[in-house]
Order: sequence, then structure tokens, then C-alpha cells
Amino acid sequence: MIGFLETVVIGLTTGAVYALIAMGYNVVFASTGVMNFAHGEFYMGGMMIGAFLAVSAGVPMLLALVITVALGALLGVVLERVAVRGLTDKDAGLGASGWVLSTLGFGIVIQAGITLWMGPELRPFPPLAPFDSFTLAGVPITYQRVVVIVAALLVGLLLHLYLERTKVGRALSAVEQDPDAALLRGIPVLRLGVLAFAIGGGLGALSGFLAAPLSAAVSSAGLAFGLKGFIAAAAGGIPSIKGAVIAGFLLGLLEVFGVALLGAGYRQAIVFAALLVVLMVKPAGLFGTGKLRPV
Amino acid sequence: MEPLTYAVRSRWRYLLLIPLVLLVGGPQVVATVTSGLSSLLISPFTHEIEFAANRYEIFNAQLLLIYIVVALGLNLVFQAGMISLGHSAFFLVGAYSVGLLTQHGLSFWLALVVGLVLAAVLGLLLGAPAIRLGLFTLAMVTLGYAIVAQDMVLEWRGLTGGGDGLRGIERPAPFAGLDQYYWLVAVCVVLVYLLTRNWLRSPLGRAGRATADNEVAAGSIRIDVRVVKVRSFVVSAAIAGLAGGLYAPLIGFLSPRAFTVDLAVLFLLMVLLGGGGTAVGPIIGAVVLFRIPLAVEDVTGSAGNVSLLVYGVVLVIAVRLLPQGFMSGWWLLRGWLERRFGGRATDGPAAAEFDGTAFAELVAAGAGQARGPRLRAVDLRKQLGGVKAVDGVGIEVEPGEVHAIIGPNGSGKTTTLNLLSGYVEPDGGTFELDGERVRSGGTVRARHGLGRTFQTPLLFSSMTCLENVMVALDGRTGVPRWAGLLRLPHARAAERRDHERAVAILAAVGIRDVDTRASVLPPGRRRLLEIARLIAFQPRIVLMDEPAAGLTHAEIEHLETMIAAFAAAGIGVVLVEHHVDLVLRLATRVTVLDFGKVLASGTPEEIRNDPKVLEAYLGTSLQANEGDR
Amino acid sequence: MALLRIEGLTAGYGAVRVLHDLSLEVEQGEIVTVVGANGAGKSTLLRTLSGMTDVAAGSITFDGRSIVDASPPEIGRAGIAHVPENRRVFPAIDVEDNLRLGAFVRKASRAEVDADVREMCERFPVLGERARQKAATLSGGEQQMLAIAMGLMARPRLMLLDEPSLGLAPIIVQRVFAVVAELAEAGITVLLVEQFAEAALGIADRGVVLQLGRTLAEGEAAALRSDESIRRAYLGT
Repeated sequence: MIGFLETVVIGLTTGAVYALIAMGYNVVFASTGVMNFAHGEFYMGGMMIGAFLAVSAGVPMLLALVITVALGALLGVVLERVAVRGLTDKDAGLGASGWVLSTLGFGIVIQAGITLWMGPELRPFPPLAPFDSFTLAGVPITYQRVVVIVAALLVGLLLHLYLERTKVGRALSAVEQDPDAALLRGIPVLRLGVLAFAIGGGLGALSGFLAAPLSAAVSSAGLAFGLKGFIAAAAGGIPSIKGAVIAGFLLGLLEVFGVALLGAGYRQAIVFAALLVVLMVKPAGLFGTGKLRPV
Repeated sequence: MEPLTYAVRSRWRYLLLIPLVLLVGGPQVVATVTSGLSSLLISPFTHEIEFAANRYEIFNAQLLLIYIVVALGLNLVFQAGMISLGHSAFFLVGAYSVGLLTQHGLSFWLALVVGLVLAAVLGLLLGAPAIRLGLFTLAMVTLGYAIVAQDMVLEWRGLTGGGDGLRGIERPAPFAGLDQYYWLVAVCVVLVYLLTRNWLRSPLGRAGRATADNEVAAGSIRIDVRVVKVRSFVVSAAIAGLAGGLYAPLIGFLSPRAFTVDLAVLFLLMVLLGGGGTAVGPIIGAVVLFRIPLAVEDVTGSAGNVSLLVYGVVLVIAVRLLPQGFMSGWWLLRGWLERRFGGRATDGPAAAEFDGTAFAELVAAGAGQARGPRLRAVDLRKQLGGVKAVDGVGIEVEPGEVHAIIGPNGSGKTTTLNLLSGYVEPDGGTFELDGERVRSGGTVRARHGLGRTFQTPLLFSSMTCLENVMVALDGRTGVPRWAGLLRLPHARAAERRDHERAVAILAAVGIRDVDTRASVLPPGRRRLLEIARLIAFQPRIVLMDEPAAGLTHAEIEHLETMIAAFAAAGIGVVLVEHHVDLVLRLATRVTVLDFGKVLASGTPEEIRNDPKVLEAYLGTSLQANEGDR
Repeated sequence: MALLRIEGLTAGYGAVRVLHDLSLEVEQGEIVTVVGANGAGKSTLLRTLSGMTDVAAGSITFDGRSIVDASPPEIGRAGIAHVPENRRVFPAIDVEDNLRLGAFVRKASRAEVDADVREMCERFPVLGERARQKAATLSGGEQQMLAIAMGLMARPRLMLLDEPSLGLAPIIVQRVFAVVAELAEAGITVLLVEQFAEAALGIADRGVVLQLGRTLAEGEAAALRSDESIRRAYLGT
């Protein structure tokens, strides 16, 4: 029987991962109006590439992290060029939102490709922090869990600061609020869109790399996590970073406690039911601005 | 492009005989063709084409047909502007209903009906959120349905056999063999195809497409968007349930592992990739998406991941080439063929003649004998973001009167009109038609006969001119909308009559190329189409927001004739305008707004000579220090 | 040589033509006001200058270089700043940061931009008072000042102002126009689009009256104010 506090810790860790994934969705959607259906696979890619680098290729962990994130960003840029650019004609109705299909397809390609390359088996993944754990109020906590939780909070904070304090970040924020006025003032909306995809891709890869030591890297993880990350983003209110973080953590806690109470079979049901409840009450999400584009 | 009404018979419809003939040919024929199709797709790599009619392929062919049924149903949802990733849940419900009930001794046919009904009920419950949610949140929520359905099957093992599944599901007596079962499936496919095709061509389908295109415009012609959405969801859920019910005996056993998220996504992809707009699109999408993985597996031997990879690559490439789906490729081809061989004379702008007399007759006929209602609004107030956009505006309009609202930009004209239309909740004030209070919101005032045109013409851009007008006509006939599904004689007659009426209305307004898509019309014609739709709606009172904007001189003259026709027929017109010439010629009364308040109200003569009015426009009041510069 | 020279411009959105064969010149240091009723094409003219529309025919030359095919960021970098209709400041961002965004097109260091922000806050005290507040909390007139200041942050040579009086109370409009008049004194060329013809022509050197995308009249602002064509453009014959 796992105690209450231990459940809380597990919930927070899971939630941290969801928060990271959710932020990736937000950044992209806010700047481009595109919901990246391949994002879950970026998460998975981060896990697997990290596993390859750190385990098979023996690259030092921190370096592996940097390379993985960089590759994720690069892949994000490729995604934008291949599956998004020119497919976002908003005037022609739903049918011309071809990016839904192409990002889905891109995700499938990533998933199949990585499975072919590395096989469908689970792969062990060493933690960033040493295996040791410490005890807090009678609860054993591994350092890796702490790393993940702190990372989610830190990334959230950094992203928030980036969007508020840097020239480019502010511009990204402006594009989200009023892309037409931004363009009129000479802000390069298109280029910023590419940047958004790079950031989103990097975030996705980062979340996978951090999460892998908790469960092991496997090429089928993309869907479940991508989905729950999206749920966190939607519940938190796209494009709010704060919302993504809070909703992510809450979602993780909810899921873990729900499973403890109702059994593992209800894991997804709980999560979706929670989403439905939130959206029925606040269709734009907890911190959503509610005045977004095609959504 | 061709409008979707069942009064129009396209000469290309005979192409559909080809698949029909194939279907009639029987399981061996279909299996042969579909397997041949696969091998054709990969022939560049294998350098051979194989046809097989073995059990495996016959089984595959039937599975494909069952998936086609789901896709056809899902298309209805897509045509109403929604994305559902949850139809595998309804498929599952249908399948398990049949599986469980037949195991408990119930006849297959009864079980099939039960499954269908259960799926429909579930569709009602699960479709209700569609009303409030945006497009992608709905997609996400419906994906949840798919996942949770699978989870629940695993969880409730007592009922469903859990992970072990249900075994020994038998096919009903006359269709016990695999080859015989084919006929049941084939008949269902044909029936569902006809149903969805009729749906799309009927008022139901048009209402759906109008909703998908522009909810505000749809609401302005009495379409209740919420009903449209839920309705299409329920029907498509029932269809998916039917397909599930057919699926269970085909395979003979059920395992929750069959109802994955991938399946849910596949159904949607079939619809999207095939291309919406017609009932045929999903069929093409289904065939392609079903056969590609099989084809690749034939080449590589197995390795699901290679076929998956190819699948993904094909998807990305297909979308880049034909963002609107395969059907758009067909439209392009067909357009080329028609120009090359058909020699249609309707290309290029047709000489459009506005026919004032015909127009006036149509308006008068639509209005009938009764004069419109008297509109009375008192003390309307609306605050928008800290600004008092409308601050105590009152207005009275008699039937047959043309009442213009003018004023400088930012004076609150459009907000006032939106308050009168009921699109915006006022902060205060009352609104009455013939002395009776009418609330705002939804389609309430439209149902009272309040018609509206918008600052930028709100057309259903994905639909043809003809369809735009027919959607408005749909709402007023006495024929129940469902009759169209069965193409009953009186429904078809009504549709033909409406078709003729629509053509007549468009001709009166000056649009002869009725089959052009609304999105390609130049601005003057867009306005004309909007007004054509308005007449079809048979309004009792009309609100127009800057109708003359962007029109040429000649077009403005036509507009004046049109407004006069409304007035003559006893229909009151409230007109927000900047073209003061037009206003002064046409209006019986003019109200001038300034900073959200009524500055002056009276006859055009009084207004034109009122110095306050000119000041307001030119900003003379702003000149405190005349000596500047 | 004129700073801005437009010749035979026909432009619009997609298939829709709003401007027809329009020609206009703006000299360095001038204030030129374009007036006309709604739908005359005033906003479209400014949007075309900023690269946001489809140009079917004609030429636009700025400082000798053609900008008719340039993208909005390129035009911004060339020295044209656009103050949009309805102000359109970024509501969820601080006033100060809005100002910084105005300087986006410049290659300036953080210190330079910060210095300019301070200068703007001195020049427009109301912005200084509300520097840390979200732009959405500002009143209409304050937002207009912010939008103009944002334009100034780009250190433009030409400023395009789209109906700055829109939705503002008369007394505020006076202040806004006073600010616009000062711009020319600072050496910035101004192309002002307005519906309140009288007031706008009061601060301009020259004026142009547009109707349905064509020039109805043009000339010295003072003379144009009492010209019959203005009355016609707004109130018909």
C-alpha cells in the first residue's frame, strides 16, 4: 500500500511531465494557430534519442540532453516546413486545414521510423541524478523525481520570463494576441512561427528525456503522453503557460489518486472526465483567454 | 462546382455505376479488385500486379466495406463542422451489443437494432458537449470517448469478457458463410451510402454545411446550430453502431484490442483524406487508407512499422498535393475534362442583369398580404470594454418604412443594429415587435421574421450561390426535413420547386451562374447573393448593415430598387449606412447617432439641414481653437 | 524628390479592388491628410503601403526605392511605421513592453531601446504613469497615445496614422491631433487618414479627398477645408 504522501510525490512527478508537454503545445498554437498533432511523438523521440545517446553511444548525460533538445528543435523546424507551411489557409474552411492530416502523418512517420530504428522494446534509461533517494517525512523520494518536478517549474518560469522579458519572446506573445497588428508593425509573424515550432519541438524532446528515467523509454509512449499533455494544455487554457503548469500538476495528481481509488483501468476515464468537467464549466480552460482563432 | 441538391442530376453520376457493378459481382469480384488495387499501388516496386480472391482477401474486402459504413456516417459530422475522433466508441458499442445479445440467445437482427439504438443514445449524450466546445477541444474530448470506451470494456470483465473478449459470435442463418455474409454487408453499404448521399443533398445536409461554414449567418436564417450539430452526431453514431454490429459476426470474436485509438483516427482520416463535400469522398479515402498498409505488408513480408512509415509519408505527401482531399483532385480533373470536351459556356462572368420588376414581385409574393411587424426599441444600452457604445438609443419602425441610422464612425451604429438583431445582449432597454417583447439570443428574432445583412456579406463560402439561397428556402417550407432522406415524391417535388424558386430569385438579383461557389464572387455580387438569400428567407422586417459598402454606382441603384421593393411590400427596413446620398433619397425617417446617443431624428430633409449633423460628421465640434495652423 | 510617391495604384484584397489608379505624393516633413467617407479606401491605402494587400497595378516608391513588393517587416525596417485603426495595442502586455515592441524593427541595443522608452514616458506622461500596467487597462485616448508612441519607437521617417480619432471623445481627439502636429515639427513625415475631415485638415499641409478608391480632390489643406467636394464626399449632393 502506497501512502498518501508518496502518492502525492508520484502525482507531482507525472504532472510535471504533463506540464512540460502542455507548454510545448501552447507555444506553437499561440503563435501559429496550429495544434501540433505530432507533439507526442517529439516527447517519445526525446526519450528514445536520449536513450540511444546516453546508453548505446555512451555520451555523457548532460551532453546527451543538449543534443536531444537541439535535435527536437531542428525536427520542429522541419515539421513546420513540411507539414504546416502553406497548409494553414484559414479562409477555405475546415477542409483546407490540411495541417491536421499532415501533422498526424508526420507523427506517424516519426513513430514508425524510431520503432524501426530502435525496436519496440522498453529501454532502460539512466537518471540524470544519482539513483539515490532521500527521505522526507517518511517518504522515499528519488532525486530524479525532484529533478523532473523542479525542471517543469523552472522551464515554466523561464518560458514565462522569455515571453515577457525578451524582445523575441514579447513578439511571440504579441503575435498570439493580435497577429495582424503585429505584422502591421513590422513583426515577422512567419519567422516567429518557425521559431515557435522549434521551441515546441525542443520542449517536447526535453520532456521525454526527463521523463524516461521514471518509466523507461519505449517507442509507443507518444500517444498516451501526447494526449494527456494536450488535456493539460486544454484544461489549463491555451495559450497560458501558467495554466499549462498548474493544470499539468493537477492532472498528474488527479490521475494518480484516481487510480489509487478506482483501479488502474479507470486511469484514462478519470482524466477525460476531469477535462470534460472543466471545459463544460469554462470552455476556454482555466486560464484561457477565450478569444483565440479557429478553435 | 456542382450544388448538392437532389434536384440536380449530374451527368457524372453514372460513374457510380462502376463500383455498384463491382459490388453486385459478389465477394470474389470485390476481393479481386481491391487486392489488385493494392498491388497496383506498389507495382513500381514489385513490377507485378496480383489479384487474389482467397478467403483472406474476401474477409478484407468485407472489413473495408464495414469501415466505409463508419466513414460515411462520420462524414455527416464533418459536414456539420465538427471533428470526431470518438466514433470507434460507437462502433464498439454496436459490436459488443450484437456479440453479447446473440450469445444470450437474442436474434441477430434484433441485436443489431438494439446496438444501433444504444449507439444513437450514446451519441446524443456524448454529442451534447459539441455545442459548447471549440473544434480541437471537441476532437480531444471525442478521442477521450474512444479511449475510455476501450478501457471500460477491459474493466467490466464480467459483462464483456474483458481482455479475453467474446468468442463464438455466429452469423445469422441465411448469411452463415463468409461469402454469404458479404451480401448483407454489401446491401448495408449501399443503403448507408444512399442515406448519407440523400442527407447531404437534402435540407438537413445543407443546414449542416451552412453551420460548418458560418454559424452566425446560419442563425440569421433560422438554423438552430445546436440542433444541427447534435442531430448529425446522433445519426452518425447510429451508423457507426450499425457497422459495429456487422463487424462482430464477420470476425466471430471481439477483443477490446481491436478498438484502439488508431482505429478512431483511421476513421477520421478516411473522411478527411477522401475529401468532404460529397458522400463519395470517404469511400475513396477508406479504400486508399485501408489498402496501403496491406499493400506494403505484401512487399515487406510483415513488419507493421514499415507499412506504418509508408502510411505516414503518403499522408503527408497526399495532403501537400491535395490539401482538400482526393475529391478535390477529382474536381480538378473533371473541370479540365469538361472544359476540354464538354464545352460548357458558363465560364467567365455572365452578363448579369438585375431585374427590378421580377425582384419586386418576388418580394411581394414572399411577404403575402400581411404587413410586417412594428418594431419598437427603447433606451438600448451596451457597454463594450469600458466604452458606452450605445447609450440610451430608441427607435421605432413602422411596417413598410425605411428607417436609416447614420452617424460618424464609432458612433455605435453597428452595435445598435446588433442589439436590434438580438446577437448581442443589451445592458438595458427593451425591444418589441408588434407590442410583444422579444428576447435576444440564438435564433429567436430570426424566427420572428427578422432578416439581416451584415457589414461584410456573410455568405456560406463553401457552398454555391444556388445552395446559399436554397438553405434559406429550406427553413420555410412545410415539408418535414426528414422526408428528403427517403426521396419521397412530395419531398422531391418540393425540392424541385425550391430549386426553381432559387434560380428565379438569383436571376432577379442578377446572378445567372448559380453554380459558382460563393467564395469566388466579387464584392458587389456577394452583396447581391446575401440579399437573394434574404428574400428567400421571407423576412417580415429587415436590418441591413452598410449594404452599399464596396458597391459600384450601378449596383447602388439596384440596391435602392431592392430596398424600395421591401418597403412597398410592407416590410420595414432599418438601414445603417454611410452613403448619405442613398439614405436621403430612400429613407422615410433618419436617426443620427453620435457617441452612442441619438443626436437627431426626423425626415431626411430635416436631417440634411440640421447643422448639428454636419458638425458631427466633419468634427467641427472638435475645433476648439480655430486659429491653429 | 518626394519621400513617398504612389503612382497609378490599383490594389485590394484578393479579387476585390478597393483602390483604383490612385496617385499621391508626400514630401519630406509634410503632413498629408487623406479624408473620405467610409468605404472610400482610406484604410486600404495605408495597409497597402505597409504591404498587407494585393497590389494589382501601380508603383510605390519610398525614398527612391520601390516597396510595392516588400513584406511588412521589410517596410518597417525601411522606415515606415504604421499606427493601426482602432489602435490595436497588445492588451495583455505592459505599456512599457508595448513600447519596446514598437522598436522591434530597429537594430538597437537594449540600452538604446530602454532610453527611448524613458523618453516616450516623459513625452507622454500618461504612459509614464501607467508604464507597468497592462495595455488593456488604458482608456481609448491613452491607447491612442500608446499606439502613436509605439510608432515613434521605430524612429520612422514616415508615420502612417489610421483614423486616430476613431471612437474618442472630442476633447481627447484634440489632444491626439496636437500630438500629430508635433510629429512634423520633429521631422517626421506624416500620412494621416481620417474621417473627421475638418479637424484633420486643420493640422495638415495638404489634403486628399478619396471616394470609392479614387481621388476626388486634392490641394492645400486650408483651401480644401471649405471645398465643396468634401461636402459631397460625405453628405452627397
